[in-house]
Amino acid sequence: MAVQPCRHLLCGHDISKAFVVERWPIIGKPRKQFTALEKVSFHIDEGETVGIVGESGSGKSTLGEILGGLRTCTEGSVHYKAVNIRDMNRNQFRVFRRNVQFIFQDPKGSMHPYFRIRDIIGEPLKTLKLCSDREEISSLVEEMLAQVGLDKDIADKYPGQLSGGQCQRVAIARALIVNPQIIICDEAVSALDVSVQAQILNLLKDLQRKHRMAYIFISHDIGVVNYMADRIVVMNRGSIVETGTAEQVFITPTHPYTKKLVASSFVN
Amino acid sequence: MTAMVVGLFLLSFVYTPHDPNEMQLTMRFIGPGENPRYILGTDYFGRDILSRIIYGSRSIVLVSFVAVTLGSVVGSLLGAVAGMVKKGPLSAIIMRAIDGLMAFPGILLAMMMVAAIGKGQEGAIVAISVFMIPPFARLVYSLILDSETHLFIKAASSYNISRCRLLFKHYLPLLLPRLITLFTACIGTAIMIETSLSFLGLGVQPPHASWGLMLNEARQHFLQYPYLAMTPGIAIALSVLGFNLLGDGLNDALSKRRSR
Amino acid sequence: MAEEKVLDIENLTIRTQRGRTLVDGISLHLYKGEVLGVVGESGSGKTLTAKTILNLLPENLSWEADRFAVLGADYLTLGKKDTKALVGQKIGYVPQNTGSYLHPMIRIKDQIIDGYLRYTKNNRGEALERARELVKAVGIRDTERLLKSYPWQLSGGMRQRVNIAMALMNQPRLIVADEPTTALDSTIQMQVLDLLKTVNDLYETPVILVSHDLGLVKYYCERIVVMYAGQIMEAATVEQVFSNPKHPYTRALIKVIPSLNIKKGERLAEIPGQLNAVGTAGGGCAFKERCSFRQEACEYTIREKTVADNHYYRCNLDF
Repeated sequence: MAVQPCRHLLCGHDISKAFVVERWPIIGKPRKQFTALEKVSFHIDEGETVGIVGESGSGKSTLGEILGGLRTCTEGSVHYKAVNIRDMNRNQFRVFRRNVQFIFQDPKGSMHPYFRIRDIIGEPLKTLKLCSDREEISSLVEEMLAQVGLDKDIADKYPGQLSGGQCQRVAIARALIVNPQIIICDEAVSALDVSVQAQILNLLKDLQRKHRMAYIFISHDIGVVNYMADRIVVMNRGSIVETGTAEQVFITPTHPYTKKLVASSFVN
Repeated sequence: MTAMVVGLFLLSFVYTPHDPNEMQLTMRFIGPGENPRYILGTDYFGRDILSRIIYGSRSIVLVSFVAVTLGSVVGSLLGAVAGMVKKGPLSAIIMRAIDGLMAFPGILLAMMMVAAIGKGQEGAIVAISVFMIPPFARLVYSLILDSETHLFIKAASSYNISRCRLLFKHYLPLLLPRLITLFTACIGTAIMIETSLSFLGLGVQPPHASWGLMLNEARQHFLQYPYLAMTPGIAIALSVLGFNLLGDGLNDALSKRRSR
Repeated sequence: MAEEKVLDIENLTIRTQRGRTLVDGISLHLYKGEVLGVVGESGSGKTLTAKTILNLLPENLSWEADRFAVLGADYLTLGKKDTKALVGQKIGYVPQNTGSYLHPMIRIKDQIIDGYLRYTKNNRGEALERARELVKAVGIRDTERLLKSYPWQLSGGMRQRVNIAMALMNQPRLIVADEPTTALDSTIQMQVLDLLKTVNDLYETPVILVSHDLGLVKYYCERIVVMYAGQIMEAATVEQVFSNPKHPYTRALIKVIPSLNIKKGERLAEIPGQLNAVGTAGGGCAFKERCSFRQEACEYTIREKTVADNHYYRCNLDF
């Protein structure tokens, strides 16, 4: 089956992922598997925001991890700028990693509790070999803090001393500092209180406008995804059930699952 | 309490008033407290016991610290490597080898090493350090596997962190408290092993002073002059107790800090 | 006809051992047959209030109140044992964490009847019968299989149904549900909440629903109390709160939720600043630091304003 050369910035072709739940005792071959994803295809272009909606177990987070190279898929492929990430050499992969960043659900958990904020934000510069000069890193960190609306003196604090919203801003700063093309937000605001959620969503939108980044926005919250995304992908039990623009999917859903999902959410 | 015992120890590792090897045959077998010049009395050869105890502490400290340090470093590195490369066969090989090593009872292992390397302090150090490798390897291995689930480890992979950096900058600070506690506990064990080796004549050789050796020498005269055995015995017991308490105290202090 | 007051709490204050105030003089009333929603973000004190009613407040916290009557019994004078008995017999609790109140190593059937047998004189067979009925009533079709299972074999939604069944075993006169659906998927959420509503309809059992989700509360509750950092900001019926919200915090909270009607390019209304760390309200209004209408008086006092029957809010300004 020939795969068309991918013209999108990042895309996944027929991605399947199975987790082994049980193995045969001596042989070691898988006995029971759990299929998290079943032939899912996805694409995103520059500057777009694609929202992935689904409940728990739908596979949306797994898809996000696979697209970002944090997990491998059992079948299928992920292409960045038309190159299969499995075929990339070290340097190409580093460029890929740099351009596809993550923001996770648990703000405090996504940072090492023993690191200072400035080290947390600055670390990607070092690991992606973008910058090694201490002074330069320091000034970039300060610049990022300003961009995400945090005070300079936060830099010397530890994650435990910050609130959830502040930590998530730090996470955004960390993702932003390497100037990525795509940021994958995996339930980035789900753990935040409602009053802080709006701040972070607005911040993300502002940054997107400024830096022209693409977002893959994964969430179970329809209202949030509707606000953030241009294009929506609805997932259920490992497959995509519906795609379209926000109006199409949420106001006039066609698939029964989507209808059920919209009906059970509390946004008017 | 811990601080007190430890303090006592650290003080006692300051060195001796008398030359511990000097034999005063005229002053043999004085009981403790009988002669003000020899506070703890003298032994068969008229050597001052207090000085021998103090001098003996030197070798105990030297051997146990060096051995545990060596063992802990090697063991931790092995455990770390095994933990970081979990997917491949390498980790299985390392961990099974460690298991094999653990199967030998300590003293037996030590005696085998000494038989291979020869008697004396060097032999004791090597033997004990080999014995110390498995506990550290297993602890580091299991702690790494445990910590792998942390989100910040996953996040770090997202910006392409190298395994080396991950190990030293991310994992190490997490492991350090438990490692230090294990270290102090192992010192206690090392002291016991060293003493046993010297008792058997495989460690420090006469005429040097060593608590184990002193115990051995005391055997012959035990019925007449029990103090000959009591002094080194008490010294050994106190030092092992001291380090174990230190380990306990450290464990408490460090876990309080983390749960805060 | 005077309605029975199920909950009569006046001026409840909860403090830590070091004197920090976590809940600052709140008053709550609940009448028979009502569904009351207590809405607030983290640190609002809503869960602590619920726990006080359930006598489950952590050891290191102390509470005091001018009046604290639950189902007619006065907590202020009731002894420990009696309070426990009251809670065990007459109050049902549906927790947030579906699994934490279920013992992982005991089968469901034994757990469900446990509390029931302790407070009634029925024998085991009758208890099991009742359990079967309730399990069926909460919408579980394969009752026998469920009863024989262990908690870890069930999904979150099923566990929550079990929790509800357990809460119903003793025919409670009050149900306290603390974020019962936060950990569940949205499709299951509706089912669980519908269940609670059905119980309320059928048996007239009053329900206190604690939640951070205004949308949820709008659908299921009759009255709402909005809390922030340990204080009550506004209390009203659902219609009143959404048609005529008075308090700046309530208004901001309503606007902040992204609804499906939002137009593209329109910015989400924000509440500036961060959530108050619990216990730093220090005199005056807890919301003063983030309020766009803040005045000097807000530093020290708050005035309680009544808008209508059942609708009051605490603010120095008039809206």
